[in-house]
Amino acid sequence: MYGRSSTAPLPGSSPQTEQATIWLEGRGARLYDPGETLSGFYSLSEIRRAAVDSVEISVLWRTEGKGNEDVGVHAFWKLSVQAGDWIDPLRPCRFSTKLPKSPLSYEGNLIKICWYARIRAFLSTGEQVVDETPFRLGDLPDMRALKLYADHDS
Amino acid sequence: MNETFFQFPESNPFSTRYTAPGKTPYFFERSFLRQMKAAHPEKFEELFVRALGAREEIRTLVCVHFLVDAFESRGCRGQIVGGHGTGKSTLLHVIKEALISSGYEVFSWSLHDQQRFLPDVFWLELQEFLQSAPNFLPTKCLLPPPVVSHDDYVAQQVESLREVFGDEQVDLMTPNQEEVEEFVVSDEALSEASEKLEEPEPEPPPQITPAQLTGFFGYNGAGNFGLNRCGTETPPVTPQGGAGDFAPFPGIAEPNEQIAESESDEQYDEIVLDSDGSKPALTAQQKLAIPLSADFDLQKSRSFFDKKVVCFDGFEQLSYVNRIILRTFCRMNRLGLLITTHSPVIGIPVLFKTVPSVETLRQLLSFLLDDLDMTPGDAELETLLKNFNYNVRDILFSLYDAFEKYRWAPREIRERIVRRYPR
Repeated sequence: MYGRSSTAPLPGSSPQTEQATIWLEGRGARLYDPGETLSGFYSLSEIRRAAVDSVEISVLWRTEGKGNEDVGVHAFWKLSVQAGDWIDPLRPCRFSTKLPKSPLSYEGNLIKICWYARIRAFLSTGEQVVDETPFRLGDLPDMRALKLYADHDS
Repeated sequence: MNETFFQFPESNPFSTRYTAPGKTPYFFERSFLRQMKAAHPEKFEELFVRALGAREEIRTLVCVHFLVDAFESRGCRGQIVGGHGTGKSTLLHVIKEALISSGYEVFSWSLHDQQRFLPDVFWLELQEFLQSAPNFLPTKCLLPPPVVSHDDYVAQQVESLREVFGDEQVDLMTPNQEEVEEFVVSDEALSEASEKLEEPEPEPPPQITPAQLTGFFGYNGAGNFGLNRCGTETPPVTPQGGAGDFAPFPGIAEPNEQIAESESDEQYDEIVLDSDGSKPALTAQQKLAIPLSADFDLQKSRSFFDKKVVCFDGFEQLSYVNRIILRTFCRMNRLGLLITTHSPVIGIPVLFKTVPSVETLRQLLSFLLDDLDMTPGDAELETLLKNFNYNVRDILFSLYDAFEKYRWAPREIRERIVRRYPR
């Protein structure tokens, strides 16, 4: 339940995140302009079809820093067996959305704004399988570049 | 732009995303676990085997379940005491999860800084929490006492009987007005009968004077009150004037946990006030020595259906009146109460005192810096603790800044730091 990895752990999530995979298509840089269309695929491996109750795919941003966390969900899709959706874990599925104009990704000292594409699968055992893929929205310079620019000006 | 040239920077492991309550386990000292193991070896073995299959930290899991047992044995009331940034909220969150896994329903609330009063939404949500459970029992605390005349009461009873038995049978059961008047006794006959009887006045309930309690209190107290022993048939006089439930009120404090837990041969379960109903003037020692009946009744009457607990973070910020109201509400509705506070609150057993040490800080940093090649030594940790006055939250904030500098530092400096703090 606890643990620190490249992506934040979720309560009740399984540490074996390789069972779920989400990847983005495009130029490969994972750097997107505001208003650009983000698309990608997700799949589940080593999981039987009967063991999956529902799958959530979301494109969201999250703040990170010394203060409280803030989260905003830009796009969200949910497939549920109970709702009659067909979930095939072995077959990669595609998703696509048009990215907003803000908030742009930012790497600061006190606060960071990070964008993610996330898949979360709810298993019939009550466990969750999660995978997140970060990407950048916009091309804001990070704190280091801003500081260099300020030093150069002074 | 090629992906190989674009690397996402590592997240800061000391950001609140990873250090907030619920994101990290609470790390106990080994000595605490050793004490629990020595005191309850069988329980320790059971919890240890059960913890092997869980994903959480084994030591944390075992210690927390010991705390849950202690919480239950003390009538589902407890407080976590500690200074600023010592991990009270983290421990409360861990215990809350253990309570939920044990079948409890938990109502959680945390106050903002400088918030002294409970907002209305707190009471609304607490009422919903009570009513959502199938075992909701409205009590005198929630419902005002019925104010009806005797005639209205009889009329209500008759109506309820009519619904069950029908009109004809109810008419047969209830006497007519004429029949009633035959049995009415005149005032003169009543006065004659009362003169003949001249019954002796009932004896006052036996009270223990303060002089008899000098050994109990340890001083020659002058407070004008008495205590009824457990098991006596005399009805205790409560502040409301009736016998039965005891409700605390401002002016009588509850005992502190050391004396409440002390094993004495004689237990006192009620406080008897003066005949005029005035509040007795209690000194500090008397306040500490009086166990309240509600505590003992709560332990006796607690059953499986009472598995509801209020977890309150930041109890010390509340005003005195709000504290009394919250505790009274929880007691009257048979809710457990688990709080965090900076200094011990009288009347609630101390469950755990959070004091960070080098050992616990090392465990926390090792957990946060799991995939990084830097772990500070014990000397640095001790210096950190002293410099920040054992405030782990401030230590983590300072490490956040240090990590930001480390992250943007040139490669040579980073390698030098890694060499200084080998794993």
